[in-house]
Amino acid sequence: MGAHVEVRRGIRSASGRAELWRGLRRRLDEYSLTLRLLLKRPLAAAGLLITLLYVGIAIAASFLPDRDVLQTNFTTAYPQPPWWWGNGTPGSWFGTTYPGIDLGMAIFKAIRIDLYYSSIVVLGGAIVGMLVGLVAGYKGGLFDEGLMRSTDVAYSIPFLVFAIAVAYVISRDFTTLNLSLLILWWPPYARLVRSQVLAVKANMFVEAARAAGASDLRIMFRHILPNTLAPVFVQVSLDLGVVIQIFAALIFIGFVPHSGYLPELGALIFYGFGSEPTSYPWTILFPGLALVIFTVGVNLLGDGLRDVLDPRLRR
Amino acid sequence: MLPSDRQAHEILVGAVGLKKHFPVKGGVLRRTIAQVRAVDGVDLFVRRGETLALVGESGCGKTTLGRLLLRLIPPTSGEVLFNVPANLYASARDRWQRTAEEDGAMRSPKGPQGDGLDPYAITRLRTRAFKPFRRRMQPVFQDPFTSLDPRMLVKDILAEPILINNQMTRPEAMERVAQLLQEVGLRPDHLYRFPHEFSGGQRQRIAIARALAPEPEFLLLDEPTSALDVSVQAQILNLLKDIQRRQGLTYLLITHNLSVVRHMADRVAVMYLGRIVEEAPTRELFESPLHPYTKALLSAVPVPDPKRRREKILLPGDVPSPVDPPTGCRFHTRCNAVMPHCGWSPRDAASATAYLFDSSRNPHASTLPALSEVSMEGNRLRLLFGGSRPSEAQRQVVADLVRGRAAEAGGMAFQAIREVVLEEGSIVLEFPPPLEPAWVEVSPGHSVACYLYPQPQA
Amino acid sequence: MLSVQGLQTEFLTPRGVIRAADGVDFDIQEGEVLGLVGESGCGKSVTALSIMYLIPTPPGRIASGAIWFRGINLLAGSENEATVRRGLGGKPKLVRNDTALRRHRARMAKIRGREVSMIFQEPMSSLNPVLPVGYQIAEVLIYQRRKVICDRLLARREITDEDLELFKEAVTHPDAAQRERLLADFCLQTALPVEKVAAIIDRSGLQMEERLARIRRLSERTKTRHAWFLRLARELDVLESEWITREWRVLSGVASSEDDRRRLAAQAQFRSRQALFRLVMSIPVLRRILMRPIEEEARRRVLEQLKNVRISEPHKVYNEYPHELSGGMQQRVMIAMALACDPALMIADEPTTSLDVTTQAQILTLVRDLRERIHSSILYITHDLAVIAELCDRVAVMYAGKIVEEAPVGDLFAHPLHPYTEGLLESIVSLDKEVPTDAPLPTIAGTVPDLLSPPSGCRFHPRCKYAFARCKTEEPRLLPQGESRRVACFLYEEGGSRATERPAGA
Repeated sequence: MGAHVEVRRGIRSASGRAELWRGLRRRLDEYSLTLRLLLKRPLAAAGLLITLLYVGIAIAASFLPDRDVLQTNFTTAYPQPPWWWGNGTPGSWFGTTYPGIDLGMAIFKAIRIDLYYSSIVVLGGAIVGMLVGLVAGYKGGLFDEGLMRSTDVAYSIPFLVFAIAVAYVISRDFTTLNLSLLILWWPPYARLVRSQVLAVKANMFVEAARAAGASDLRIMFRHILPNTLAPVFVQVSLDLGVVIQIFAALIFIGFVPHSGYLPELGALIFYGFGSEPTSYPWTILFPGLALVIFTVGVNLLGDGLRDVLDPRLRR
Repeated sequence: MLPSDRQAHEILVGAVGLKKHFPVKGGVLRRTIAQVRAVDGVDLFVRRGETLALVGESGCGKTTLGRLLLRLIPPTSGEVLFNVPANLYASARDRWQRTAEEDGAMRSPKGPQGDGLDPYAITRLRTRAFKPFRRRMQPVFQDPFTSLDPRMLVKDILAEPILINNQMTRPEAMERVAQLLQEVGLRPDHLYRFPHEFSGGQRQRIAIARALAPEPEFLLLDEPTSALDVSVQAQILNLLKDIQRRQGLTYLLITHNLSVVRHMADRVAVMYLGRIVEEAPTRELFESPLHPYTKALLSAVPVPDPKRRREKILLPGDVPSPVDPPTGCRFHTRCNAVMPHCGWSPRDAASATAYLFDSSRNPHASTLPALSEVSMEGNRLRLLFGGSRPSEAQRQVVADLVRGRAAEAGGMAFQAIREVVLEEGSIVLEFPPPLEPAWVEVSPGHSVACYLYPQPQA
Repeated sequence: MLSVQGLQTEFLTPRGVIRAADGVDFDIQEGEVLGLVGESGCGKSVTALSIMYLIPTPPGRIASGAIWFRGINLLAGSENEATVRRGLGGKPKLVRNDTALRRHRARMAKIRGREVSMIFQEPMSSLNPVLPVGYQIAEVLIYQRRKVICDRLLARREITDEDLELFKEAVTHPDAAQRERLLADFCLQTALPVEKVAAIIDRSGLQMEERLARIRRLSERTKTRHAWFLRLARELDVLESEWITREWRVLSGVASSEDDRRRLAAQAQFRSRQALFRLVMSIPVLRRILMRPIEEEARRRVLEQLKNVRISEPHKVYNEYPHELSGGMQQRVMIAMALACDPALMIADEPTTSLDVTTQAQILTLVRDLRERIHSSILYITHDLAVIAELCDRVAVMYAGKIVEEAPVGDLFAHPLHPYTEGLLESIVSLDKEVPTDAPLPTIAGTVPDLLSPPSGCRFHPRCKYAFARCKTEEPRLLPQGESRRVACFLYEEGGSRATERPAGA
C-alpha cells in the first residue's frame, strides 16, 4: 500500500514537471510566432537586426581594453582619415578623431555607454510608470486622481531645461543626468498603462478571478499587467531612440564635463566639431551615423511590434 | 470554520431587502448628482439543489443582483445570507421589511449583530473572513470572449481557482484540472492552448470548468448561452443540466431567454426595474402568469412554428430610467391592465394639465383665468392662476375638466386624482400617496406584486 | 426580382483565403419576405453586404457570381476591381483597381438606399453620432429622392378650409403624442414648414383666430417659388438614373441598341444640365435660397416616415441624436431611413438580435404591418428560426458559405429535408415545446467548421448523422425537390435513401 502511494507520488511529480515544461514550450511557441510575424515584415526585421547589432556591439565593447586608444604621439593626435578615404591611414577603418583616438573603437565603446544609460532611463521609467499606472487604474478614486494630476505636472516641464537646472543644483555627472531624466520619463508610461488597465479591468475574466478568491495583488500582476504590456514594449523601443539622442545632445552641449576623452557619441561629435569638421568630415560623420542608424532601427522595430502585437492581426 | 459550514441548510442563497444604487457623477467637481437604482429592494432565495431563473429585460438589474449575491460588489443596503435554515430566512425577511418601513434609509449591518443571523450573513463579514465562502459560489458569465484571460493557458486558467482555494499541491491540482476538462467535454490536449484557439461554445465549456474548479455549491449562470449559436446553446444547456444532476449543484440562471428558462429552471423570478414582480414554479408561471409584465414578456417570445401565432401584448414605449423610476408600481406607465390606484403621480399628469387649462384649446376652461404655473409637491399638483385667487365655482370647473379628461383615452392619470381642493389662492390636484403593491402569495410558491390581486389589509 | 447566382465572396487573411460565401444561390420574388437563416460565420451577413456592395476591399472581394436585380446585373462592371495575385514568397495579395472600383461604387450609390436598403444589427454604428437622426434621414432623401420631392413641391396648392380644420384639431387635441401626429399630417397636406407650424401651435395663451391668421400668412409666405430650379433638379435626377440604368444594362449584356442610343443621349443631356446646376450651387446665397424648400419638404417626408414606424413624437425624435434614443427607438429610426426612399428591396441583418424580447416583439409587429402597406421585398437575415417563422414567406438555410435548403416557411418547419435544418429545428429551445425536464435537448454534434479549411465534400458531413461515403468526397448540388423546394443533400438525389420520399406540402 505504502509503496503504491510512493509510486503514485513519483509519477505525479514527474507529470508535474512535464506539465510545467509543456506549458513553457507552448508559451515559447507563442513568442516565436510573434518573432516570425515580425520577421515577415522587411522593415521591422531590419529594425530588429539593427537593434540586435547594437546590443551585440555594446556587449562586445565591454570586453575591449579600456585605455589603449589614446595616442601619445602628438603628431598623430590630429584626425587621420580611414584607409579608404584617399591618402588614408592603412589599417584604420573609421579613421581617428581629435585627441588621437581610433574612431571605430571609440564608437564601439560609446554605443556601450549610451545604450547602458538610456536603457536605465527607459526601462526604469517604464517600470515605475507601469507600477503607478497599474495601481492608479486598478484602485481608481482619489489615489488615481492624485497620481494623474502629478503626471500632468511632470508632463508640463520641458526636459532639457529641467535636466540643466538639476545639474546646476546638484552636480554635473551621469547619475544626476539619469535621475533627472527618470523623474520626467515615467509619467507617459503611467498614463499609457493606466488607460490599458481601465480597458482590461472591464473584461469579465477579472471579475471571474475575483470570484475565485484571487487577491488584488494577484489580479493586478497576474491578470491585468500581462494584458497591458504590448503597448509598453512598443513605447520602450521607440523611447530608446529618443533618450539616446537626448543623452548625446546633453553631453554635446557639455552637460557632463569631460576633460580629455569620454567615449560617448555626443562627446565624439563634439571632438569632431573642435577639430575643424570641414577638413575632417569623418570625425562627425561616423558618430552621427551611429546615432541615426540606431534611432531609425528602434523606430522600425517599434512600429513593427505595434503591428505584430495587435491581437486583431494575430488571430 | 463557522458552525453553519458543516450543515447543509435548505436555503442556499437568500437576499433580504437588497439594494444597489450606483452614483451618477457629474459637473466639474464630479459630485454625485443622481442614483441609478439598479437593484431596489429585492427579497429572493434559492433552495439547495434547485435552479432559480431570474428573467427580465436588459437594464432591469438582474446582472447587478447576481453580482451582489456573490458579493462581487457591496450592497447599498440589505443582506445576503448563505446556507441558511428556511425559518431563519423567513424571519430575517419579515424583520427587515418591518425595520425598512420604520427607517427608510437603512444600511447593511457590518460585523456581528447577535441576532442569530451572524453565521449566515456573508455581507457582514470582512473580506478575509469571507474568503472561505468565495469558492462555494462561482459565476459563469455571458461573453466567453472576455471571460477568459487571453494570456493564460487553459491549464493555468483552470488551476488558478483550485490553487487559491483548496489545499492542493500543484500536481494534484493539475490532475483535477484534467479531470474537469473531461467533465465539460474537452480533450486533455486542450490544456496547453490559449483561449483564442477555441470556438465560442468551447470557451463557454472552459468557463464552466473554471467555475466548477473550486468545488462550489452554487453557480451563478449569467446569460450563459446568449452569445452562442442555436446548435451550441443546446449542447451547453445539456452540459449544465448534466453537471447539476451529477454534483447536486444549485443554480441561479440569469437570462432574458424565456425558452431557456422553461427548459432549465424549477422556479422563476421576474424582474422589472430593480424589483421582483413575480415569482413562481416554472410550469405555473408559464401556464398561468399573473403579473401583466410577465404576461407581456411571455407573449413577446416568437413561436418557432409558422402555423401558430400567439396574440402579442405590445408594451408601449421603453423601459423607464432606473435613475428616477415611476412611483407606486413601477410598471404602471406601460401596463395594459393599469388602474387608477397603481401609483400615478403628478408628473404623469403635469404636462397634460397645461393643455387642459389653456382656454384657447379647451373652451370649457374659458371661465378660468390664465394658468400661470404648474408645480409638483410630493403627490400634489398645484395650479396657480396668475395673480387671481380662484373661487369655489372655478374649483368646480377644474374638477369637471379633470373628470372629463379622465374619461378620455390615456386619462388614467386623471382618474387617479382623488380630490381637487382650493388652497392658498391656488387649486391643488391631490393624488393618492404612491404605495408599491404588496408581495402577495396567490398560491403556494406563486407570489406577485400587483394591485390586480387582493392586497393584504394593512 | 432579385436573383443571386453563384455568389462567391472571399476574404484574404494572414492565415489564408476565407471563402465566406461560396456559391450562394437564391431568388426573391416581388413583395416576398425571404428569411436567410444560419449560425454565426456561415456567410449570411457577407451575402447581404455583397448585394449592397459593401464588402471592404481589401481584404474582401467578390470573386464571382451574378446578382440580377430588376433586369440588371449589379456585379456587371465590377469584375476587375480586385484580383488576387501571388506576392512575394507565394503569399496571395489583393490588387485593387481603383478606377474601376470608384466607377462601380458611383453606380451602386444610385441603387443603394434608393432601390435596395439595409438595416443593420447595430443601429448605432450606422448612424452618425454627431448629427440629429432626422437630419440624417433627410439627407438621404435629398440625395436619393430629389424627383419625388420636387414633384410634390411643384404640385403645391393653396390652403383650404379642410386644412384649417385639421390644424384646429392639432391645436386642441389633449394627447401630446396625438398632437404631434396631427401636426405632421397637417404639414404633409399643406407642405408648410414644420418648425413654423409647431411654433404657432405651441405658443400658449393665443386665441384660435390669431393662430389661424398666422397659418394663412405663413402659407402666403411659403408659396412655391423658383419653379425653374425645382424642374432642373428633378430633371437632373431623372436623367441620371436613366443613363446609369441603361449603362448597367449594357454592362450586363442585356441592352438593346435602343438602350445604347438612349443612354448616350441621356448622359449628354445630364452633363449639360449638371453644369448649370453646379454653377447655381456654387453660389452659397443662391444655394441656400433654392435648396431651402427642398430641405423642408424632405423634412416633412421624414416626419411622415417616422410616424409610419410608430414613433409617437416624430417631431421630438427628429431633433434627437442617436445616443439619446433607446435601442428599440434607434432600430425604428433605421427602419424609417431604410424605407424613406421606398426601396424595392430591404435587407434586414439581424435587426432585433440586440434588442429585448418585448422590444423585439414591437419591431417584428412593425415589420409585419409595414410589409402589408409598402411593397418592398424583404431579405431577413437572422439566426433565430422563431423569428423566421413569425415573419417570412420562404426560408433559405445557410451552412458554411452555402445554401443547403430553401423552402416555403410552412413546409420547412413541418418537414425539414436537409439534416442540418432538421438538427437546427430540433435543437431550438422553445417555450411551447414541452420537453421532459430530465431528457437532454437534441443537439447537433460538433462545431461550425472553420471556413479557412472547410471539410471536403458536403460541408455538413462531419456533423451529419446520416453521412455516408459519397458525402465525404463529392459536393451535393442545390437541386429542386418537389415544386417549391430545393435541397443540397445526397439523400435526396438519384439513389439516395430519401430520393423517392415526397415530403408533405412539396
